[in-house]
Amino acid sequence: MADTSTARGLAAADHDALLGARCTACDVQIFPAQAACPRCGAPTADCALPERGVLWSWTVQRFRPKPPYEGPDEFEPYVVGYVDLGDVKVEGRLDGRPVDAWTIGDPVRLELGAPDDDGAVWTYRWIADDGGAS
Amino acid sequence: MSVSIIGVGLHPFGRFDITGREMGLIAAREALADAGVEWEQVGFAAGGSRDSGYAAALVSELGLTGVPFMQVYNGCGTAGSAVLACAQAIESGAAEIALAVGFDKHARGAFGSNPADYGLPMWYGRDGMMVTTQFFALKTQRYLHEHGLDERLLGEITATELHNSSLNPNAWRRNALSVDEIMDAQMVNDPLTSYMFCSPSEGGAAVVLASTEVARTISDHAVEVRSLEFRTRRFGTFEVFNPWLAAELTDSATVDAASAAFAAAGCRPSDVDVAQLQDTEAGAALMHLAECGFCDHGEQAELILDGGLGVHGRLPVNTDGGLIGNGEPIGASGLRQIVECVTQLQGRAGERQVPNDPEIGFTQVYGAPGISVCAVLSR
Repeated sequence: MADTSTARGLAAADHDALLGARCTACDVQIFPAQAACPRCGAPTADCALPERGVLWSWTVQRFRPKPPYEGPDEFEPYVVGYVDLGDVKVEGRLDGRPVDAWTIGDPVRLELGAPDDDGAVWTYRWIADDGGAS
Repeated sequence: MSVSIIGVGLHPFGRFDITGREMGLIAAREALADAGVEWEQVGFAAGGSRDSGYAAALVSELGLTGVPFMQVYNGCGTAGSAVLACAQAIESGAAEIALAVGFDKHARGAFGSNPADYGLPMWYGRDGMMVTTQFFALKTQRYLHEHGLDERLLGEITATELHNSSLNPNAWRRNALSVDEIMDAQMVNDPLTSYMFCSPSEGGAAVVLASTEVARTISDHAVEVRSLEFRTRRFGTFEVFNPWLAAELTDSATVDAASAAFAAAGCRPSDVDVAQLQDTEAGAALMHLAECGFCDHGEQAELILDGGLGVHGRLPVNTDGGLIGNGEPIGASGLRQIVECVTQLQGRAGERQVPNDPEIGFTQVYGAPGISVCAVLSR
């Protein structure tokens, strides 16, 4: 699945973390990576984001979004949340639990989607983290 | 400011068989008639719509007078920006009388958005995160959690607004509902049920403004624009379509615009007799009560419960039903708020009239991508 906006995907090079960026001047951390800091305009440097965090907010998407959403033909409600990673909060889909079984503060861990033919990753999920090895 | 509103016009909000542009024209003509001025006397105009074409093209039916007509599009702040452009034209001396108009006609259902228009990668939309209602729910969910507020307050706000719109012949939603009916309705994005959201709709609204000096000579029902402040977001606010949020969050553009509006008007939130707040959904109204300074964060229950926001309550809010009761034609919505505030201050609001001759009104719009326009109006 090619992406028109960037070809490198949203995962760090070794495919075990999301690719964010940190401002070289003001230290703000952002996701996805972009070349300029949205706070001060200085250049940023790529960085891998933490793979574990805690749920900061969540909701259930209970109707099928309009395009460009590309879900399965048979729509199933899904959960979207923000995960607090310390220096940044990252939005993402949550998985691994019934849709209404989430609570703010739940620990979660990252699971990246499969890479495409060019080796780029375009999806990720935050999975309930019950303390086991990821 | 030394600017007054001398005329208001509104095409009802809802679903109709005419174009958005025609609704804008109807509202503009009604505002001119209410002001008692001719289109030829208008020295500046501003307006906008999202989906119904160019506002400036209205001149082909209002009259080709050569008037400078500035088109604005600023999301939910479109109408507020149009009013601001008019007020500043008057204050600068460029015009004595100005017209602000907004109209729109949207397709049914939540707005669809293209990630590229917002500088976002396509995967964000493809994976199902480019959804406005999701954002409202995520923000509301966090707010309720942080401040220990009961979800039922969302139902209380919605019930008050739908009661008001049931009394408003220009509103879309004319059926009042109980808090239980609202809470038990279909969940759209938790914790927000279907009735708690405004829907895209259709309508038009317009106001005629004049310098306060001119207003005194030509109008017997002018309402003074005490202040009008427009702000955009600073770094660290929680806005729609954000794959990430900053570690430390900052006050919203509403906080900045509202505090500036009260400071410029020389009055306080506690002086306000009637307020129209952006209620894209009930959670927004809940947050805006505090962001505008009407209560502290987390203290909303004292304002809301026991009909506190009703027409006869402690702080009458969204007396015409707000966005929840009227839907949102984006270009017109902010002007509807001003039209309603003016109508209340003039004592012309009929069954939904706030009692005891309200003197000070307040309006607030908030929209993507983090903009707010707030105004203080007075008789």
